[in-house]
Parts: sequence; C-alpha cells; structure tokens
Amino acid sequence: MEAAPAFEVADLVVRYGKVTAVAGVSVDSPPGRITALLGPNGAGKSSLLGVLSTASRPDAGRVRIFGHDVGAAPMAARRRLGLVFQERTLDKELSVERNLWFHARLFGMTRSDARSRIALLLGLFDLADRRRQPVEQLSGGLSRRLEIARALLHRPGLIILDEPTNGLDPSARSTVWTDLLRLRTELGVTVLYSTHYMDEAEYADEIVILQQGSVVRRGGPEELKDGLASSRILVSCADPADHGTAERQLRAAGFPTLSEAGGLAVHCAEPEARIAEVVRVLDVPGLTVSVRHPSLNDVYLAAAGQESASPR
Amino acid sequence: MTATTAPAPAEETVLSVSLRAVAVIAHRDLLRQVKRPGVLLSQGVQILFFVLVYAVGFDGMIGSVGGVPFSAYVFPGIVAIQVVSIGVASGQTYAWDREFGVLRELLVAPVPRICLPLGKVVAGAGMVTVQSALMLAFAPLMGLELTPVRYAAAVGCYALAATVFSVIGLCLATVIKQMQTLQATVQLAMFPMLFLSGSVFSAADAPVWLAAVMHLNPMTYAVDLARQTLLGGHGLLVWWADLAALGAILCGVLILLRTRSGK
Repeated sequence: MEAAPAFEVADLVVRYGKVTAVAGVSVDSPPGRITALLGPNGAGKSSLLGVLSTASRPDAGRVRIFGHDVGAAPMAARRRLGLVFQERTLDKELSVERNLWFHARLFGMTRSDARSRIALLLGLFDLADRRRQPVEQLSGGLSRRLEIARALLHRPGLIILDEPTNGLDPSARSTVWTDLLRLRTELGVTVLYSTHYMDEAEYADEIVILQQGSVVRRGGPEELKDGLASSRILVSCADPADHGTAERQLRAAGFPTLSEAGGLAVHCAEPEARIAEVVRVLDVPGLTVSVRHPSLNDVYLAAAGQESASPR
Repeated sequence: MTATTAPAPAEETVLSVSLRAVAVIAHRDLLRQVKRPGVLLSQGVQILFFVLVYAVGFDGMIGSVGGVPFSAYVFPGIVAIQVVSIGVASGQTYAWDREFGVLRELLVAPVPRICLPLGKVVAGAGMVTVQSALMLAFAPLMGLELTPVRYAAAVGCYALAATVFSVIGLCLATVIKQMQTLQATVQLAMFPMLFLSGSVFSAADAPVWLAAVMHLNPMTYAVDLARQTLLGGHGLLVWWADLAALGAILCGVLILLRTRSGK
C-alpha cells in the first residue's frame, strides 16, 4: 500500500531564458489514477513532464515521485518511473530484445529477473515473435508498443507518456490505448499522459488543462463537462428560411434561443426532460430536433477562450 | 499480468551501481560498433594509407632521423594518429545518441549521469586500444625492435591516449549541441592536431613559433611518450613529464565532463 501520492507537483516554475513555460503549476495524483494533460502547443505540458521525468530541473517549486524529491533524490524517483517520450528513443540498430535487456540492466534488474520479465512483456505486447528483429524494421505502432513495454520492464509505479500516439494511424492508436488501459486495470500502475486528442482524454480519471503555463481546468471528464452548463436542444428546419419562424415560436413560449451552425440552440440544464415541450411549440415543416451535451472539446475551447479573454 | 512491485533489490552501493552502468553502456556501444563492419574496415584502410604514404613512401626519400630509419621513427606517430582520430570520433557517438533520442532514455536511468559518458569512453578507448595493439604487431616490419615489455608499455601509452582523446571528443559533444557545428569543429581541429603533434616531424626540428604551438597540442605528449617507449632514447620531454602532462589533461577533461553531465 502506497501512502505517498504517485506524483506531487507544487508551485512548479520552469523558465527558458525570459520565457516562462510553466508558471506555478500544482497537480498531484494518488496511486492508480489515470491523469491526462491537455493544452495547446506551448502550454507547458512537455516542460511539466520533463521535470517529472527528472530529465530537466525546475526553476522553482517542488516535485515528488512517490515521496522522492526529483531534485534531492533523482535516482530514487527514477526507479519508480516508467517513461515514454514524445520522440522515439529506441536504439534502432539493436534488436527488440537487446533494447529491453540494456534497459533492464541499467535499472539494476538481475539477469534472471530481466530474462523472465522480458519474456513476459514481449508476450503481453505481442512482440515475442519479433524479439530478434532490429527495431528499425518495426512499424511506428509496434515501436510504440515496445517503448511502453520497456517503460514497464522495471515495474514502475508511475508511467509518464508524452503524446504517446503522436504520428500513429487510428488502428495503432487504438491498440496503444488498449495496452495503456490494461496498465491500470491489471497492474494498478498510475498513468500520466499528455495528448492533443480529446477522445484520448476521455480515458482519464482526471483531466488537467494547461494554458500558457497555468492550470485553467482540472477535474474528471464528466465533472468538467457538467461544469460547462452548455447542454442544449438543437433545432433545425429542412428549409433554413423557416428558422426565423421557429425562433419566434420558441421565444413566444419562453425558450431563449441562440443561433448555431445549421439552426437554433435552446440552452437548458436537462434537455432530455424539455425536448417534448420544444417539439410541441414548433409548427414548421421538416423539423429535426436533437439533444447535445458539452463534449471535452467544448470544455477545452471554453478554457482556451477564458484564458485568452483574461488579462495577463 | 503481474504485480507492479519490484522484488526487493539487494542494497547496492553507488560504486557498484556506477560500475554496472558503465559496463552496460560500454557493452551496448561495443555491440553497435561490431554491427558496423564497414566502419572498422574504413579505419583499417585509413591506417594502411598512412603507413604506405609516410612509412613506405617517405622512407626512401628521407632515409633516417637521428640514426633511426624514417619508417621506424614515424610509425609510433602513425599509430597515434589512428588512436587520436578514432578516439575523438568515438566521443561523438554521444552526439548521435542525442540526435536520435536514445540519450533521453539513458539520462533518466537510475544511475549517476557521469556513468553514461564513462561507459562510452570505456567502449571507444577499449576498441581503439585493441586496434593499436594489432597495429603494433606490425612494428618489426617498419624496422622497430619490439620486445614484449616495449609492446606492453606501448599498448599502455596508446590506451591512455585513447582515453584522453575519447573524453575530449565527449566533452566537445556535450558542449556543442548542434551536430553540424560539432562535426565542423572536430574537422577543423583534427587536421592541425594530428600533424602538429610530432607524429611526422619533431618539434625539436621545427621553428620556435611552431614548436610553441606543438607544445600546446595535447597529442604531442602522446606521440612523444609512444615514440620513447618504442624507440628508446630521449624525446621532446622525459617520459614521466609526457605521462604527467597526459594525466593532467585527462583530469581536466574529466572534470569538465563531470560538470557537463549533471546528476
């Protein structure tokens, strides 16, 4: 049983010259949680992950991995970390098995433990029949799977992935996510990843949205979407000329409407409960009525809009 | 799947962790070198070319230097040229690892960071030392009298030179981040360093200003030490002064490497 948080970042500041990449970020996670980092390019995701991975040093703030301070005890922190970088870091000239072997030995695994663990992970990630193949002959998806297998080799408690599906085709992305979700359900590993894909963020227990080096939203996917309060009933007519009539009928019945791409939107807290009322007051031909709840994309765009509107 | 908890490792000291890490990195680098037979072949062709030009070609023209056949006089320098050029190039593998992302993975391993360049030095210098030992076996063909003691001492000299110049190559790779800039810098520095080292002509026979420049070249001390070891007699400096100079240079570049490596 782990008492300390899997990772703990407090008031982190990272600067590159005069540019502040991370401006006082505080995030943490108990063991076993999956956390997604979202944010546009330059939001500070990679800088935050760089410090968490012990690859770079913070300018201010405290970062701990299972209670080990990454500045004071980097080696203890590294033993608990598994890392999958944004760019490929496998040795292309060496075989699949050799890449895993050197990683295992660097992490202090005994030869017998390394051998059995490599065999296990090659089997789990369907790479057993490629063990002697040079890495340069693997596809992008298989290379990624190998990197994930390598990150798990020394039994880390926390695995950090920087845009793990970057550059992969949809099929390879799906396979990578199947593998990653098994980490928590079957291994109980804590996962922290950054992504640009909203559908990938849905896998997380907690989402942290970064903007210009600061946390602008933090919570579970449903919590963030509920917090947006932008559920709506969408109304569209076969003939766009009828939208004016529909709008007048809705307003007369007390429904405030807004224009939206392809029709009108009626914002309300529980659209399923009110959709029948909306249909009753409308008397226009070729009517289509549907319900739309906010997506993570809406949350992300709202966060981006709020941040860009706020004075800095 | 399996449990995430690692079996409790035996308590390792920093020294044992460091030695293991150096051995792992050296093993990895040696494996990569063996996988590139073309590189080893080109290095063999290079030394053959130097032997043909200097030891064979110039021998007929120059005859002897201080009573020693020119081929015998120049041979320790030719081996030193090979040792230094390959030693510096082996240090540059650090830059290639950085370029291809491999270095990132190594830098987050739970080992002292200085172990990574040291592992590369062991692999690079080890490979060059083996090559120099093979080259020295041909010394009698160049007119050198090779006793077992001289042979062993000369291999030791070249091992020290290979270590010094591998570390210099690594230092350059840690200081200069741009691959193209690094290659251009090494190319620019290599030619004067190889030929203004006493490998082909002695600083004692050079004009004063050129001799002064040659004394600033760390390779001069490696060539002088190897030549004294293989030919006997007096060199530019006494042997222990050459050894001390190389030792001091090695300490200096190791300190720089330690500073550049981080925790």
